[in-house]
Amino acid sequence: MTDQDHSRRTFLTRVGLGCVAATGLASIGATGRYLFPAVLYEPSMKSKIGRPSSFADGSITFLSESKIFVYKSPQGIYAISAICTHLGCVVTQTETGFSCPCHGSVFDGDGVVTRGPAPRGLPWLDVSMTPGGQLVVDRSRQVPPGTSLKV
Amino acid sequence: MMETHSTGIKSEAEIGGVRGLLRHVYRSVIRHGYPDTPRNRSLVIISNLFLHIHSVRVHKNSLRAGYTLGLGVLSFVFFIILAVTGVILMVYYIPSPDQAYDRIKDLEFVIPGGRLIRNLHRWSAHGMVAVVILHMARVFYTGSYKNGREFNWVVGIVLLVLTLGLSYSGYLLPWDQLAFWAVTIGANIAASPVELTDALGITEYADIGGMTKRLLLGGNEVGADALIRFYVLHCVVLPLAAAVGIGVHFWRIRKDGGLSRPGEKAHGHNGEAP
Repeated sequence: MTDQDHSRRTFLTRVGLGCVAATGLASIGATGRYLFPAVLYEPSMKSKIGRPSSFADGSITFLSESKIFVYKSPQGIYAISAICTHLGCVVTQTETGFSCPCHGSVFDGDGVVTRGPAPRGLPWLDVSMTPGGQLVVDRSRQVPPGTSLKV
Repeated sequence: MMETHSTGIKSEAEIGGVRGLLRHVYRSVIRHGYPDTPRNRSLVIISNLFLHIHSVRVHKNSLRAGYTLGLGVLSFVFFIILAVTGVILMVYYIPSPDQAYDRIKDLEFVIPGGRLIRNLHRWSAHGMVAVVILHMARVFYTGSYKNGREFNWVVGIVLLVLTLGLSYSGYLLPWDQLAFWAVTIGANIAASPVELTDALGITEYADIGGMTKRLLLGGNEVGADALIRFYVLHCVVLPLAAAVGIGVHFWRIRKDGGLSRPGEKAHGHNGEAP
């Protein structure tokens, strides 16, 4: 009989502790979920940058708002991100390509790393054209280096 | 009553009237007699919240300034200065991208005494980081982390991380170029597990780095959300955590046998409790 009481007590204790643990974990999980931003007050990753005719042939244009370099070459138009792949500083244009002011990474004109610490080259970004003839750069979509939009 | 008599002070019942009332009020605050006996000297310390942090009796060697260099106490004093000046700064500072920088300039150039308070906060922050690291070096080189004090060393490591966290989170608040890029870089360092998950090809399923960054910044870029998050961390979360950690640190010093000190010849061990 005492055994029976004992096992019932043990069972209820475990159920109680289980409920406390489940509630605690659920609270931690819910608080963690709460802390992740559900709404972003940030500029869109897509930006209209104007018509192809607004870029001179053979030019490299820096757009400070969207932090991109827009190239107009004989192959077409393409955009390279100006955000250093090391720790996110904005690179500056040099005679041979780009260099990062924060930790000295150097990139060539195609965004390829020529000196670290940057682990990867500058990403090439998706360029498309609206039906109205406006160029759109989507910074959330990378394309293989060498891809360009024929105009 | 027996307690009162034993400390050599007349009870209010014996005096009566206004003097008795005043005596009663005094006795309800100061619960010990004149510190002219060993017992009352002990009571002075243990009946006071602020004094009881120190033990009643201290080993002679613990008082050797050249051993501890007072670095732990200095860290604590810096923490107190930072808490007080931080609260005063909070009166004028507004954590919004539109106003933060202007408010800091107001503190520097317009508000009477603002520059003094801000610089006290700023230099104490630098001082605290330096002194905490020196304190850690002292504890290491005197071997004071040994003989049962290992746990308190770990508590100290937590406090070091909290100190660095406080220092870093306060860095963003002026919202100038230095702050903005320092936090951009810091957030990208926090996102660096991406390099590992990329190499393993699992970033798509378990983007630990990206999650940490979004949690820290409240978005993908350093903006209003990042500022308010760093503000909450700097003014509430980290100071509270540090205060609790400091409490545990001090309590453990007492439980581990008081301040570490050079061992006596018979013991031969540094920091060993007698």
